[in-house]
Amino acid sequence: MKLGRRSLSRLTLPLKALLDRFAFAAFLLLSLALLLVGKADHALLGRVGAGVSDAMVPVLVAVVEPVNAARRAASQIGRLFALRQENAQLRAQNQRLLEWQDTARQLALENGALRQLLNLESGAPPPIAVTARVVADAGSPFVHTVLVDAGAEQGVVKGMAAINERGLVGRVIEVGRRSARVLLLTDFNSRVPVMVEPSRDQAILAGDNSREPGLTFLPLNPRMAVGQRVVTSGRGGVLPPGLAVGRISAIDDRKVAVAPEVDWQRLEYVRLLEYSRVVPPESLAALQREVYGPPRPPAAATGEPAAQAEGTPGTAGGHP
Amino acid sequence: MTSSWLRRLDAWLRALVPLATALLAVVADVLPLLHVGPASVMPLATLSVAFFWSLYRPDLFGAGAAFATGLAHDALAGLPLGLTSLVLLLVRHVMAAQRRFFVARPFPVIWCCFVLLALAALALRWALCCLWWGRLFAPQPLVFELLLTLAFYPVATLLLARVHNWIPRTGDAS
Repeated sequence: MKLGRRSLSRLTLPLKALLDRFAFAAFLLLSLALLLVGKADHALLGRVGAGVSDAMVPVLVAVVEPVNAARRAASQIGRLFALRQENAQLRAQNQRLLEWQDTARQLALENGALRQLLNLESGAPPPIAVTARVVADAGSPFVHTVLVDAGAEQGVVKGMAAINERGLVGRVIEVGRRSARVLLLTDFNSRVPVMVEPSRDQAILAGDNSREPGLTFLPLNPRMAVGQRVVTSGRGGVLPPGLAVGRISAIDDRKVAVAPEVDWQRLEYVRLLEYSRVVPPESLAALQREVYGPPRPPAAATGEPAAQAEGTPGTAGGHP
Repeated sequence: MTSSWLRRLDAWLRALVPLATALLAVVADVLPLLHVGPASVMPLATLSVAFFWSLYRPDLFGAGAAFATGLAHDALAGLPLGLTSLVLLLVRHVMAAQRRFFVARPFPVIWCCFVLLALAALALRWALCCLWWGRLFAPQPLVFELLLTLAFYPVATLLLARVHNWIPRTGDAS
């Protein structure tokens, strides 16, 4: 019996090694293919990634909750020692805020009256669609994104702004059934149209994977100073205007750095804002069909006019 | 009959332990622990776990398991799919080929081997990311990631050695 098993294993060992090598080659090729396909067609593999994330979200939620509780407890223990000092600070801050509250009330009344005079649309903030928990971080130096535990089932759509109590966090770039991915302000792919507050100078806040993204596309002779507030301008219609983004932290020859308001150490929840003034590009085709009817087949057109008609959108696409 | 069936189920579940620990490491890697977003450099636990199982139980942590672990990591971390799979497959292949030399060595030798392999794996991941996005990423966070991963490896070994005791040492891997 023993001999039989040994001879069997002698037979199967090379076969196993061969299979192992074959599996290695097959999966290596599959990985390479995934990388290439992902580069060529991001949307296709985005769905695969969202599917995996959807499947893992319950596990992540179960793990994140106790971890957050432990973290909160630890920070509370740390704060116990500084309680007296913090109390004094909060009293002083409360005094200042009460004064500000008076000013804000007066300004709100005045603003409302003036808007009514001008017949201007009220600048109410957009409604909150969903509040979601941050369940995963990218955990790598290459991308700055977070995964949240709300998806299409909860009404999340691509392009929604993600904020927390401090200000803008990022925006939704990928939506699964129960999960969504938020691109943070600091990611090198993030571009947010912003405005520097006192001067109302427009610029684009461009992430560069550092802690402090920089302002680009500045106007000629920009009037900016360190410490000034930066808010979203609402240009392009993707993000609502007036959301707090950060403060200018440094200005030098190469970069106007903005320190985001968000406290990255305590980002547990984000609120996703409903905002759909501009039609997302994905639904543009459906809207066009609705308005202009089904597209005519190109064969129906003849000769020169067809060539012209084909040429026009290409030129328009080149200069958006 | 029932007991043999249960025994088979038990053995089967134990054989899944390496993949399960690797997936747990993936979850640990993407947990928003201390920081979120910028400056969230964490040790790559997945790499340590994949290295451990490739060295001690390559029969239970096959190419498919390495691929699945990498795919889960990429999907959860928002990285290009296939990136970590490729790196883990190569790590698994190198270790499975060299395990006869390393398996009975003392821990410091294995740790030195891990230093070299982690350096190569993280450098490869960095290079692939640079190619994929067509931009040069700063190498500094990578150095921190490498140092943290190296420091994490002894802890991972300590934990995984205990887990390893649950798995019967049968088959060609012992």
